[in-house]
Amino acid sequence: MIQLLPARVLAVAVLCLCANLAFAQEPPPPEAQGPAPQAEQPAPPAEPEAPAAPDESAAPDESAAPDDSAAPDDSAALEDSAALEDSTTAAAPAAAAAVAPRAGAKRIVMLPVEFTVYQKSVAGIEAVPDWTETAKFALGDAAIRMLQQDDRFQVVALPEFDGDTKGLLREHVELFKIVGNTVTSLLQYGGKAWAEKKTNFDYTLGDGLGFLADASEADYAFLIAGAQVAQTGGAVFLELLAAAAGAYGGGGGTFVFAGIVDLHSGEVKWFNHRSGAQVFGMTGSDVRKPETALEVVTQMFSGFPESKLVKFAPF
Amino acid sequence: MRTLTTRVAVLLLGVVAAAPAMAWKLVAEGTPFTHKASGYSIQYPAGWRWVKMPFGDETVATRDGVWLQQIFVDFRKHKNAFRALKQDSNPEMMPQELAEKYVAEMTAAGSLQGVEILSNEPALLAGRPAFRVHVAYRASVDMGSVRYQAIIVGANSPQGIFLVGYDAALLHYFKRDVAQFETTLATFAIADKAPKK
Amino acid sequence: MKPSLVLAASLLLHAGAALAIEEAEQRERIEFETKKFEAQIEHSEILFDDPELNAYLQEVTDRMFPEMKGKLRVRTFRDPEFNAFAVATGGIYFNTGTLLRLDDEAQLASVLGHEGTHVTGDHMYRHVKTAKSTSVITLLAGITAAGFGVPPDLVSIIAYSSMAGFSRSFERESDRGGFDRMVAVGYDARAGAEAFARLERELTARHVGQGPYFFASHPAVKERVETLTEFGGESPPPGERYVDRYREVTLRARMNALEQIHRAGNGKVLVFLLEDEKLLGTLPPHARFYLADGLRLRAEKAKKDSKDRRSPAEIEAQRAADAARALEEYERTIVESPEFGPTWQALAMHHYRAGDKARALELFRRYVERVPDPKQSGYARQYIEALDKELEP
Repeated sequence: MIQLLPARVLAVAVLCLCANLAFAQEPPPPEAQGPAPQAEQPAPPAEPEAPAAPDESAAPDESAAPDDSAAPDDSAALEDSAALEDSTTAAAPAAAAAVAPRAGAKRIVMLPVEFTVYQKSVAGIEAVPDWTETAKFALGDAAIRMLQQDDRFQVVALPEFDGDTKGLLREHVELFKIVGNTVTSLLQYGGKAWAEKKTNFDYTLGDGLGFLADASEADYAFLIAGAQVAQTGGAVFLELLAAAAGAYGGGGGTFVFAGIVDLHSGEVKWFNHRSGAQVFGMTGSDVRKPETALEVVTQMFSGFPESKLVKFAPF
Repeated sequence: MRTLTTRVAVLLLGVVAAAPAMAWKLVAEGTPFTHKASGYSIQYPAGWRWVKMPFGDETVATRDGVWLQQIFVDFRKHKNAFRALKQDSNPEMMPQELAEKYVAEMTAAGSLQGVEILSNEPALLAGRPAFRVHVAYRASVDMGSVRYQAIIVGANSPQGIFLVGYDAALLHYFKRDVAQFETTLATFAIADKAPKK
Repeated sequence: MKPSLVLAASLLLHAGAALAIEEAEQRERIEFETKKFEAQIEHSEILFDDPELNAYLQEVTDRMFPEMKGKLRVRTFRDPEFNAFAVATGGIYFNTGTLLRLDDEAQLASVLGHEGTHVTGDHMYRHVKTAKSTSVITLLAGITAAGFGVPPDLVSIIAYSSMAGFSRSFERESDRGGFDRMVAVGYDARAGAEAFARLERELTARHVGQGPYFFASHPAVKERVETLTEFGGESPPPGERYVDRYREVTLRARMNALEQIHRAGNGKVLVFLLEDEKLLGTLPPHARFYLADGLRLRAEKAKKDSKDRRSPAEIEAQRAADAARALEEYERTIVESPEFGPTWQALAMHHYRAGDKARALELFRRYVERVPDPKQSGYARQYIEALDKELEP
């Protein structure tokens, strides 16, 4: 069967042998993992030592369904899985109390970055914990810097929650991801029927985030989510091989979206996204690198409140 | 459950720009959709978007995206009506029996988590005796899950089973749009047809 | 040099890079995905809320794995199938369906011992490592033979190996390890073989080759029964069973599993499980309703199972017998548990379909007396209204 493949496949194979190191994904240099910038106020919440949001099941206020899934008291499992997500900024509760409102600025709380970096290789696709932490840190750091440098915003600390409230926050964050994915797919690719949403953007997470507004004394929340798939040289090689045989299956890439949510109404007041495909090991944005993360976040926020898809009104 | 498969398929449809035959359409007031093959018609809410699925007789409408809310109509011929159960239906089945099979299929499919039957009552669909099932479930999303509720109304006919459903995220969307579903449900009509072989 | 050799060499070099992840890194990746998986479980409302039961399962596990106390965490999973799985971080998830099918604490210990050994034997890491090498080899083989292979992703590896079983060697290792642990703390050595023997009978009754069970892929159930019987023969006379305690603590979970099987319309499984009077005797009197309804559902099933070797005449005879037995069991349930509403409704439907509408009307009324909530008895009320009109003199 090999003999039937075109000669160009073999040429590509030889080139890839030589270029393997160039395409192989390496962790970013150590300086990328430095401390997060200090806010003008005491430590902001999203300095991701370990990121993301709470994970307890919610006792539903709205649902009639009984809650049959309470966790047992011996919650070592919960602590372990929560540790995957918890923001560990011990200063956060104190910071919230210490931050005095600045006139004219929108008080905004930054939720932990929800981002995963995967490695795609010949053996499969896997989330890489170190790369994920690095990317989360870089994106969070970039977002905090950007917001702090913008006089329109005043960043406040994210309070800690537990139990049902933690679960409810988690559910809202997941709903934001659904909204984000829906907006980026339908408003970009859904066709004319969805054009009206670009001028009448009324996506919302509902009015159930009042507890976060009360606890943080913020009016808005800033969320970032997404994923990056980094390919190894081997995966790139396979991609080339497939393409040479006429079947391109897609490579890696980065997809990031961010939003600002009004904590009182739940309305998504601003939303933007950035995506870059990694084709045959080239281009795509590696947000593990601080400079790239900053570039991605800055680009998403440039032109605020307008965005790529929607012309948002100032708020 | 069909709606989960539908969601995935429709989301993919939204992404595939090169499929104009399956493009979303905006619903206009006073323009009910008629599915000639199965004989149903429905007026989806004006301003929503709807699409006809490329497989089967299903249509789906949504205001904001199928993972947030959707109203769907499905028609199943009696043969293999309950695929997951490997069972047929028949024109003599009463609404309660249909409801039992529908719930069994939903449970057997296993794709939804923590399915809870909130109610299972008699109803009317296009003036015919029907069942109305209200369920709650969770769908996994990344690091957690989101609660959903769905209402499915189903009626029998000589040619097959008609199902009209509403499925939405419990946070905000379900309550907000359930009234639209009830209005839409009231517009559903079935043309009398002789059963096809 | 032959083109095929060049290609194979290229692939090997790239594959080598893929496999050259350090152990610590690989373990971190597995732990990361596992924690995500467990976070989703925590949020999914699929865990069965019974702190007393979870504490009981934990206690049995801790007795067998004292050195792993705090590391092995047992939770009950709301799923009516016979299954249990362990994840790399020490979580053990035990289906309510498994509890339904086990007789006593010794059999419970055999399954928990098996799952705990997957953790102590580090099977997840070893399995992933092997699976990756295999997938690369498969890829190579696929390319050289016919085309391009499809690399699996880690999540599906975790999910597969957790839910459907590890490789034959790991399953055997866990059978041995689990057996040794349970016997060491005094449980009856025959328990493991009994549990799997029952499972083998269920698979046969359901015409399932090998189902979605924790031992599913390898080795075959029969082989496991033989292996565990052999192990049992090595040990001294019978150990402890703790039947009463098991039945008491697991009752709620077992009934929940039974109700789920019923809701899924699985008549075959209901009849298989409840024809065993030993099981039925451990459940409340109204559980006989599920046997009756299981017989009805089995009688109603329209399509012939492709693995069913019986003739159409035999199948028809079975259906008639099931229908007749269903009626008997409904009537017996009414006697033994007259306050359980669903039996009255089921009997009413039977008579309605049989054309005895007067009897049906009387039985629907008895049902509504016991289930007065209109939201739950809506259909019955509709029948009563219609029959009242039809039968009024």
